[in-house]
Amino acid sequence: MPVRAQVPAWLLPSEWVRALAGPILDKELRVASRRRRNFALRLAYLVLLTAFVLLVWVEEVRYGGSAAWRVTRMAEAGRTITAVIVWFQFVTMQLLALLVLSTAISEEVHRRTLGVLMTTPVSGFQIVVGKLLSGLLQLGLLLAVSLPLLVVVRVFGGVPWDFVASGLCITLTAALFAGSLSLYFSIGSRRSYWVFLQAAVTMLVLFFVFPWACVMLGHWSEVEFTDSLVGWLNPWAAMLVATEQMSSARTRLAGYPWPFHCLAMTGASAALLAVCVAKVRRVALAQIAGETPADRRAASRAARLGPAAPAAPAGAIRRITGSPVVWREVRTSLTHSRRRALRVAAATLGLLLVTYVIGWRDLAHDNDTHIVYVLILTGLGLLATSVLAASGITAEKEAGTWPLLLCTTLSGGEILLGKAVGVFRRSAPVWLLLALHVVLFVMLGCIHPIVPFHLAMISAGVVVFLTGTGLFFGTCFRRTTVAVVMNLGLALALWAVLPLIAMLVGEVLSGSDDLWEWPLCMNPMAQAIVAAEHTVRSDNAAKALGGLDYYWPKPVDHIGVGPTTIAFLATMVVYMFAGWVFAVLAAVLVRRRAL
Amino acid sequence: MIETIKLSKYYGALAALVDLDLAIQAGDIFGFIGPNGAGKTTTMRILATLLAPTRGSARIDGLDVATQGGKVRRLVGYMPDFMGVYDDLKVFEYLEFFAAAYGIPSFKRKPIVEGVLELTDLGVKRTSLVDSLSRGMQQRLGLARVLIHDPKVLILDEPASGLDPRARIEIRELLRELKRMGKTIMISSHILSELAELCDHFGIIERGRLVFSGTLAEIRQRLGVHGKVRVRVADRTEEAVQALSALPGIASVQQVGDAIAVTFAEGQKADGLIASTLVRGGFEVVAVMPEELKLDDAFLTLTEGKVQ
Repeated sequence: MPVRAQVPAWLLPSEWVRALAGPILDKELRVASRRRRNFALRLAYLVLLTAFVLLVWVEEVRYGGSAAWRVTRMAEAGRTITAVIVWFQFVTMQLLALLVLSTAISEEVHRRTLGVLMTTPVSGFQIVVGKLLSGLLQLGLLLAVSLPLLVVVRVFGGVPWDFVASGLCITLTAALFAGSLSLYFSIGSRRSYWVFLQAAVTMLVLFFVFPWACVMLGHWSEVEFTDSLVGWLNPWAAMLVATEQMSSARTRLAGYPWPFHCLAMTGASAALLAVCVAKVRRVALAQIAGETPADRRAASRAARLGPAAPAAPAGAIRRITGSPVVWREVRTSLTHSRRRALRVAAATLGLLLVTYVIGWRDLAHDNDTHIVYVLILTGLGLLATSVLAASGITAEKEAGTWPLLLCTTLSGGEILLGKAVGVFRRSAPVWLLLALHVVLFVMLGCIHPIVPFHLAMISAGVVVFLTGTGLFFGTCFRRTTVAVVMNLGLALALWAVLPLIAMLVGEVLSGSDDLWEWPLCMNPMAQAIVAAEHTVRSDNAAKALGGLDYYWPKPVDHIGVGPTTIAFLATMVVYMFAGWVFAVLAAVLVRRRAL
Repeated sequence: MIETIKLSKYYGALAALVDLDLAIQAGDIFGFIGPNGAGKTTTMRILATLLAPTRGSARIDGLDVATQGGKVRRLVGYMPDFMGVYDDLKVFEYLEFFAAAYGIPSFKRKPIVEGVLELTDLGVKRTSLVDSLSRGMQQRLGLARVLIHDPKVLILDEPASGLDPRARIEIRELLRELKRMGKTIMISSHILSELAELCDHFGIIERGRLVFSGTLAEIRQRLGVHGKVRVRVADRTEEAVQALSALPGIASVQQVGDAIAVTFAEGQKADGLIASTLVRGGFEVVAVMPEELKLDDAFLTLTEGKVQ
């Protein structure tokens, strides 16, 4: 008799997992093994990880010297490589958790299988846990891929075990939280990019904006952030402290309670999942009852105003003027209702205002603070443009309206032009935040008046570029998630991976790290830093145009306002041209890849 | 009006459509029948200019769908099997959107939209959001959409799927009205009895190949199915069988339960003779019912039920 058969079922971990997740996990794992994108994901992860590790290795051990010196360098390299791997895992796992689980429940809702599942003995808890575990198992595979490397480095590099352990635990719990958040938002929205954005912004607020506000308050009250409860609950702070603990022997950090942090993150995830279970059940029951979104709106109205409330007014019919695609794109809002749009706008502006109040001293006297604002707002603009451009066409494909549009007499160019206008219009509010910030501080005398023009050139170029590439990927692929990942991947490859590869090539070929600065000259984030670095603060803002200095990456180096403006203009033209080429390709393909 | 010559579509090694030759006359309703995966939707998508054929050609009103797509789209109204709707638009806006997309000038759009709303009986829903409509109403809206640019040809892929009996009858009546208006209609459906009532011609397709094209009478001829009559007498059924077997022009007489199935020889039709023979023989005739070949039976006979 096999040993397994003699062991009571409740002692087997597989039985525990089965009891927790039911048949959902089995089904998800079976489906996951057939998805090509999972294999592509693993390949991309491995390639990126290898590039990072190689880069650090070349950087750390290229110097000659005595054997003792080299041994010291090896130990140093071991620590750095471990830190790079752990940080790489930490960042990518959170992003991937958001992505992988962004369609977890919405797919079941959209395919109308959630209601069917609820007619079986499978519980809402099992659906939620099954989906979560299957997503996390995919991420676990990626984590496992780099474990052997970590072990080898640990053995030869003198890295303490507790850093490897704490790094892994912090990464896992952060990914668990990110996944739970994405799963929660996926119950309410069919669009994976929208779920991704909602979850990403929530994490940004929770782990960056809120802590930043706390740091500012702590700055005034002399309370150390990492010693505070907010710091203990922040995975980024936890990872930062763990890394510092490994690389230095500062005793103050030794008492950082990372197990407490991991427990707290697990607890927060569990609470979020409990909410998901309740919500999934509600949505499933509505689906079984055949309730439509219109019914839900009516029910919500009745709940708000009482059962005797009159029906919602039909509202006026808006007549179409000009291009119908442009009309529709302009009319469609991101938030689906005016009330929600006002709420989002008020919350965003309120948040911005709070950060201004808290960080007023730094905003008036410190140029780095403005650079941070410019970088964050530019990054948000790039993200929004990239996602919206890639999802415009695929959203129609997923909704089944794309063939109807292609059957009309509209040309491919007309349809794409309408879509492009839609991208500009819908991403405009995000870019307006950047404009608002810069113009406000120009008026307050903290930013030089030339900065808005330079930032407008940088933004205009990349907006056209990302719109063109997004439309192209939207034409090529059927699924929104794939198109969005491709568009974001292209941006990441151009503006993050390319400089890294250039750095690697430069190090290997000539032992110089200058080569990586070439692609930086075309990088919108680097350009934003150049535009803002020496033009903010009241003393710089008051300078005449001729007195302004711009510090570009090395190949260009130190130049004045004229050449800088020409460089920004030239970059804008290059990006616009590239975007136009992609848009033309999309127009050619639009009917060839209609279905 | 619609003609395909050796039309073929391959997806890699998979042959979705092989050498399809079809001819549909102007003003006809053509029923396109086949098992799931037989190539009906592929054919319709090619005719609607959504897919390019791998080989062969397709023409609508003399225009090649592959090279004159823009002109073909003006002539064709295509309703796919799964029809998506812009759920944030109202019914009137939805139709006006497509009117604008077909290039109808803005001053003409309102009367046209009102016209198709009236034709499809959706006038009372003009200010409703599209996603609040029932399935049947959405199908009618789909029909309204394909009529918005007054196309000569309608290509309708499963327009009645998932509808309740009342909605199906309404759609059928609407299609009859469209035929009266002179539209050429190509329609696919799995509800063969409805197609039989509606269509002038049929095409039966299986595994990408057309196995038959013609009228129901031609199907009967092709299958060698001759006239059949089912006879019931009050008593002495066995004697009635013997009496009928002796008649000229009768291929076979069989007792089926308490009825008698009489099959005529090719080219013969003798319902009257049967009745008069039985009356003369002193039989009490309860019923003489002619049996028509059903489209379902023809479909089952002509196809093997194989899919790609």
